[in-house]
Amino acid sequence: MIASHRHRAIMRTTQGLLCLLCLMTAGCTSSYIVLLPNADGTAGKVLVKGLNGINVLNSPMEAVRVAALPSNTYVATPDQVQRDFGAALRASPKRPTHFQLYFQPGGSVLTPESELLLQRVVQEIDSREAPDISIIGHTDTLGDASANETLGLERAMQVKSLLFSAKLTLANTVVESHGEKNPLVKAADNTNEPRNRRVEITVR
Amino acid sequence: MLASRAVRILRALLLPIGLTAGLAWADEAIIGHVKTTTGQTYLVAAGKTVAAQPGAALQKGQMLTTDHTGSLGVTLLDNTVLSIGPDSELVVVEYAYSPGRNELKLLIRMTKGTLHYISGVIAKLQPEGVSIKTPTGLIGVRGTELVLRVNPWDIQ
Repeated sequence: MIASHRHRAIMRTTQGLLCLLCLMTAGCTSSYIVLLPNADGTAGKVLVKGLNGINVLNSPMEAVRVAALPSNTYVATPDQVQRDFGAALRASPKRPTHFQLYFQPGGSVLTPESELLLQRVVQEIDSREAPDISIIGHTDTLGDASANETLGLERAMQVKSLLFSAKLTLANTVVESHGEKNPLVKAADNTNEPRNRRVEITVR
Repeated sequence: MLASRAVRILRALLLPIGLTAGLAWADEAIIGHVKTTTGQTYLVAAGKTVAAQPGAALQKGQMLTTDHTGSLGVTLLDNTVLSIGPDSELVVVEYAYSPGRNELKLLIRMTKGTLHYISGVIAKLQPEGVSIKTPTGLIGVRGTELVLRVNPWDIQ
């Protein structure tokens, strides 16, 4: 007990001295973390484990030092976040965009609505400086699983061939099939389910 | 696991005589791409340093670094979005993204600088699967957006 108290006191003194040293050198801030609000204003959750304790952050802009000794959480200001993290925030890539294209039963013919969506996908690809794209084919549970694996790939390849963009290359495009194994809507075997006959495109 | 260790040992043995090219595929699958850069930014792996350019592929274990003017943004295959500010060092130490096999893990090591992190699919499907290691702590990320500053001079 006493030993641990003494240990803590020594650590606190060392940390204090180090802080003083930091203040004398230019613009030195301790390690810390800030939980940012999600797009809808809520926040996720972060556990911060140091050598001697754990802190939980779960409200927007809640912050805490990341250090061996536990400390209280506080609310960070937008100004502080901008000052310390402005460059990292500005470097944040555009968020990925998702598209779902649907098919007529049994083959790789797009529904008319989905065919119209192709142009929007191309625009999204072309709007990005260095895009990478994944095109993943899915089927419903009609027919057997291995045939659906092949059908899913046919659908994905078909979609790829319909995307006319110079920015789409072999190096930045992944084409895959999940067959009937990754349904959007859970369904029994041999179910005709239009929402599962799809190709999912992610443009990053 | 054993195989990848064997490859690593083999690579370490072969490194000095430059015979590693043929082994490059072993545990270095692409896990994401560089999307944005400003200033001087680099990808460092096995002592090899290349300038980071938008579009460059990122592999597990490569260190992302920036100089005092640099910043860099990457998007990983599960749509996790990471960006670092000036004077930063970050490595994606572990990355597993196979939802079908329930293999979902992301471990980032941040040794200095600033990070902006936005969760992707791994955090959504496996909330306990994402963590960030710093010299003074371990951060468990449960699906969220955060910023982190790591001062390398903090005591450990």
